[in-house]
Amino acid sequence: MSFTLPDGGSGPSGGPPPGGPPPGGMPGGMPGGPGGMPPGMGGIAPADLVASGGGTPYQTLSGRQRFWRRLRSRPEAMTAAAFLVFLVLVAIFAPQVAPKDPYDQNLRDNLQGPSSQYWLGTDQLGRDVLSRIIYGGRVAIQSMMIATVISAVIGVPIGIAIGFIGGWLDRIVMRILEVLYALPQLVVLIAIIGIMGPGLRNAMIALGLFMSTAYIRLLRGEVLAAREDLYVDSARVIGSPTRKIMFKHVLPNVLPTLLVTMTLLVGAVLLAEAGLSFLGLGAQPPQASWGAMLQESLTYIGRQPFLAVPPGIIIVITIMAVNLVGDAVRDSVGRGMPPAPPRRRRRQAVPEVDAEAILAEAAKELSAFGSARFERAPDTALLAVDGLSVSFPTPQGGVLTILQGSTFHVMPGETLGLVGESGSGKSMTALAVMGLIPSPGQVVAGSVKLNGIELTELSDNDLRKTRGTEIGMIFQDPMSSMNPSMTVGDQIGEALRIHKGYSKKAARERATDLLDLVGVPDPSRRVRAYPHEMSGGMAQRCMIAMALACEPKLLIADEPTTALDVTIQGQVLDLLRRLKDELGMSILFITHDLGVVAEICDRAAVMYAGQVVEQATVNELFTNPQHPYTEGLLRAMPQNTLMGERLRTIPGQVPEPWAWPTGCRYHPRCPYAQDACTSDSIDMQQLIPAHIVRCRRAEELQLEAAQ
Amino acid sequence: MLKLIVTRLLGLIPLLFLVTFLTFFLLSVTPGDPASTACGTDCTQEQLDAKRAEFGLDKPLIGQYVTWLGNALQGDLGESYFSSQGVTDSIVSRFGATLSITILATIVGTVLGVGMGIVSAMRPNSLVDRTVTFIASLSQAAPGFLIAIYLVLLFAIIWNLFPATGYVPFTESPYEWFRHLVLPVIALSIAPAAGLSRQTRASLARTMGQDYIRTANAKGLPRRRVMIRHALRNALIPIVTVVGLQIAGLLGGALLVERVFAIPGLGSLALTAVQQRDIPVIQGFVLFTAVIIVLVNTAIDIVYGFVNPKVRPS
Amino acid sequence: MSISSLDQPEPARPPVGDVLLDVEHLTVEFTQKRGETVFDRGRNVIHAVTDVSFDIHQGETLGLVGESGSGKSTTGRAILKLTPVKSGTIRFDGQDLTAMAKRVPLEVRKGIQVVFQDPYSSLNPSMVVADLVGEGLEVHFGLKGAARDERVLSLLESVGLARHYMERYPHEFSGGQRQRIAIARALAVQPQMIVLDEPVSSLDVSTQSQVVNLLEDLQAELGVAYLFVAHDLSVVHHVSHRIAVMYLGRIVEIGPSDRIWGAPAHPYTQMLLDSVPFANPTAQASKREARLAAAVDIDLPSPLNPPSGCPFHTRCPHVMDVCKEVMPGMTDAPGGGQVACHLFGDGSVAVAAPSMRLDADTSSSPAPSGVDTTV
Repeated sequence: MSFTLPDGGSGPSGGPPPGGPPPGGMPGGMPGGPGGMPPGMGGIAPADLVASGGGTPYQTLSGRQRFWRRLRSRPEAMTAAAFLVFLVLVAIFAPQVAPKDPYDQNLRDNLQGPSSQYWLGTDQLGRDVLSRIIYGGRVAIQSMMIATVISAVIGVPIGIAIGFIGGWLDRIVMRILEVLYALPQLVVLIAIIGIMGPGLRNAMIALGLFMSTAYIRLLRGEVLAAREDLYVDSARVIGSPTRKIMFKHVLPNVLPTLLVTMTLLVGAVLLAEAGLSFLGLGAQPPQASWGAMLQESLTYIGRQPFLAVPPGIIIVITIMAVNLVGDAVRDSVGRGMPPAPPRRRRRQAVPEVDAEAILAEAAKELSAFGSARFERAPDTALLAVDGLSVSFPTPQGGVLTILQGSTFHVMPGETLGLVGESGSGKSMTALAVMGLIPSPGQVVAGSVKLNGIELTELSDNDLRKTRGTEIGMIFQDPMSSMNPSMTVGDQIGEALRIHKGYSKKAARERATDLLDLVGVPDPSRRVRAYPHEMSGGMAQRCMIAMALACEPKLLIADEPTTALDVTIQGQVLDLLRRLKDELGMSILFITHDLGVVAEICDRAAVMYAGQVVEQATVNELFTNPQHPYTEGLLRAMPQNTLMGERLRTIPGQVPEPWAWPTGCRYHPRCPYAQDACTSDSIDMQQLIPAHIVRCRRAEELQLEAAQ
Repeated sequence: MLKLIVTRLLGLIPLLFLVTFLTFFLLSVTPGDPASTACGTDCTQEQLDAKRAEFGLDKPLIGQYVTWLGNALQGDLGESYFSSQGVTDSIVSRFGATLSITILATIVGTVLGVGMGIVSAMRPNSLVDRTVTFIASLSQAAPGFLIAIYLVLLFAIIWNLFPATGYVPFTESPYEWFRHLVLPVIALSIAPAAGLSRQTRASLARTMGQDYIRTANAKGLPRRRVMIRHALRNALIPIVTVVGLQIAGLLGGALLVERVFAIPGLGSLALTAVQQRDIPVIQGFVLFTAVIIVLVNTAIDIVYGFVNPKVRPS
Repeated sequence: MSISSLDQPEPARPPVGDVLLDVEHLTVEFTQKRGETVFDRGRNVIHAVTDVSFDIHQGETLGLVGESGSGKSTTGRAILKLTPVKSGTIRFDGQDLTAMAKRVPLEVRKGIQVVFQDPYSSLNPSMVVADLVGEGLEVHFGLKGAARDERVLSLLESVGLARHYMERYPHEFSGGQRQRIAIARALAVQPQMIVLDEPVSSLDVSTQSQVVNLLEDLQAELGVAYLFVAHDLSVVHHVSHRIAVMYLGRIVEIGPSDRIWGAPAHPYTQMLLDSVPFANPTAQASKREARLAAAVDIDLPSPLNPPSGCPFHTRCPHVMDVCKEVMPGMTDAPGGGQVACHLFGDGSVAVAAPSMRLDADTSSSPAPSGVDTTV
């Protein structure tokens, strides 16, 4: 039988992620710090950016208001809901609505097609099919109610109880469920109906019993998961009694999933009722049930094929309607989350319509931005990024420029640090250089030159060939950055085979050499290992080997040590330094940690709110910072503070991309801000050679150096 | 490896034991006496007692179960109350049809579903994607037997391309076997294909968002290679489990489809037994399907171990 | 520079009083199911915490430092009764927590509170700030309605949050603000001690220092004790009176914060210090040299299978034969505190390990007294 029970949120169509990541992952949730930041995109999931960008990020709505608003935004679901309401009304008023008595036989008029007298024809006994369909709706709704109520009344308490109490009770119940799930559902139903005897009510009770297992499994799983949640731990530490934790902390967070399961089960009940009646195990003749009508039609299908059409269509439409409403409910429930990102179709629709135009507009504006009050990159620079801007269209039809006028360069053999807090745009810069900005984002202005070649003008194919051969890249989380189902050796050798035409064997040999080079012990064995068999430090070494396989001139390292332990971080930094010297490459090193900058970088560019605000050699930057933000960052380091002294802080928070201030973006937090800082946009300027700063007071300010 | 499989299979014995135990006792405690049903309406007390003795119903419950279990272990599932045919024999003789439908539908459904899922994931929001999504949601609302009826209507009655009913064993005539199975298999495989296509699409979309896809792109691999070597391979790992779950559903669905096409398979056997309360047949049927499903799940587990290096023994 | 501010006068700090928390020979083990499939059905034993002893005085901050797998967070969870203890005792305010059943009496709960690392998952997403902060007030003081809200307001004020945040959900806040909410929530019950489990690790630099200052201010004001669990030695050094260093489930060194920072005794502590990058290129260059000189380029062992003898011997630059077989006991460390290392204590081979720190020290300040008198 083809109905399936929803599988407690574990399936891809399951409920909202339990205890999920920062809701919506909206830029507001560029989850704080370096530690928790998803690598690469710096936590900027572009779609979410787009979704919540522009305007006020959060409206203060109650959960219920949000739910209805989201539900209403889906016309197909509203139509489906309207149909279901109509169906219920018709079923309730069946005696008034139905044109004929559904049991009234008229053998002379049997097996007729549709006519003005019998809109949907008659069956083998001459009964009016339309009336029987209408009365069949009663059977369907009745079944739905019996089965849904029974399953919920039995399943919900048991599920919650065994989830929370656990122990032997849990083991016994789960063992029984395991038995039930070892059998096809229909077989279980047949067995239960075999015990109780056929008939609609029995069939629905059997179905309800069986479906209660879905609730048990779901709620047990959810409750077990919720018990592990930190906020439950925190409630336990507060001393809240178990009962209270259950009802105040666990249940509200399980409720959305429960609601979703219920709507999904309704569809399953309808399907099952039709199936069981069709088999003669549910509604018994002469009762009018859609499934039973189908079964009868089968007997006479040779004489009156139309007989099979009405019940089939009503079954399909009803179940589709229920499923649509269920889908909408599933997508609409959220736990006090911000307004859900618009549905994919709408999200896609916006860029399709006017993204190009909007971005072109932004590009015009931006190319005018920035003047040449400072030295441009020397011609010998390996990488020269000039005025690079990246924008994302917003659903409101606006544009969010999350990287604005980025300008910096990397000399051959040099390590340039790109420093900034979360949301500063440093990772987006790296992706832009690689040509890997997630859609629908675009480079709207500026140029990226590698060895004099303009990357932004390359064809997709040429740019692809540049990646991997000319530029290699490593990421924050080495474990998730490697393909879990491919050996490390194959992943290292892959670029060699694609770009350099190595044979499988040669690639494997080279991969072994590379592993040796990056200090992986026992390389000939490790080359056959899978990523999950490695520690984080080893995995990052493998990533480095992978990025260096084709001996690129430039390595982009995006927070490569942030996820590693501090002693391992030292090892990896030492390795990068050694490889840089041995291979004569350059490194663009992205980090939030000024200590790491001091350790490995020759020069550094400091980023704040999508802009480069200062750029100089590391020595110069640390001894003579010219931007107040750089000074603030240096002063905030605990090691720069005397024991017992208060740490010096930068007041306020890093602003979100849609709330970037006008004028100098740092001015609301800057102790030196003046009125002029708040309005005019600030250009880069250069006061002394090789030191560029985006501050209009740079010349007059005497800022504190690193300790 | 072999040892692991054996331990896994041994671990299933308690499970099967529980299955049989539960069905046996539940069936026994329910009201209604199969002996009097079998005996007929004008049945004397002596005849009834004789029937009860014949069915073994005069013995205590535990005794009945132990006897049944002992016989079951030797492959003897008892005798039907009504047809006086051995339960094992009737199951074996009808299993061929059900097995043929289920296996073919599994293959067709998997190939179709995964294929459609990949195509729609490759070009999200394209016409293909929307069509696949529409078909998927439509067929999730259309039970297999309904599709079966409409297939019969179109292909057997109106166009007369395939036989409407019946089954011919493969050994008798492979061609006729195939002709008789086309419609049932299509009817049965549409629902799992729809489910699989949605799951494949979702899994692939999720995989495309993984960090290692970004790594693959950063390596400058061609799009096709990123899709196939990196995305698809990993996306299909969870799909293996889904296919396993589908097989159980298909076995159930086969029973319904058999009914539409009047195919003499396990489904008609079980349905008749339920309506007659023919307990030995029901028990035999339940045990048999449990064994099949358990074997399938074990096989899926092993396949899963091979496609997913994380659980492969190192 | 401030790295070795030992010659600075000891700054004003809240008085450190009687012993509040006393942990003795704490051992925590986990069994981990290896897998659900045919291939992998065994169980692994993770030695999360082994034979750990320390105490915390009233109003004191003890920093618990270590890398991943060191058992530092597990130690904190064991004290909070969130993790079953295999052996050992935890005494809080005279009461034996390990002897208590799973249901911990309210007055004990009132004594110890917690702030977790992840401010995203540690606040119930479906509760507003007023309910989150007010929960403890309801449970412990029976405060309801206006009385509760009034108290919540003053708590919000004390952690620097505006009053109109009362009716907001956690997702409407940034990481730093959430951490303030979590702190207010913990403070609500007026605890004697708070376990801070990596409270600033997920925050940006500029936010991190705000939260650290807040914690220090609250301690000065309320005299609350902290168990400050973290991996960042520079933050820990700044906030702690004493520091305990953990490695693979064991405390390898414990002592006054400045001594650990200025003159680490255990080779692991030394390695840890050498690894903390300083935002000063000149200082960092010499640190690097120290690191490279002592570098043993080996990965962290797994807590599933800790090495025999001293757990650090696989990476230790001073490893001796005895280290591979015998776990060193705790002995007094020069300059205060204790260390578990064969380089110290009776009959140990005198190696100039501890003074290495001074050779490599980037600081130009005088050496801390007591260090060069080693053994």
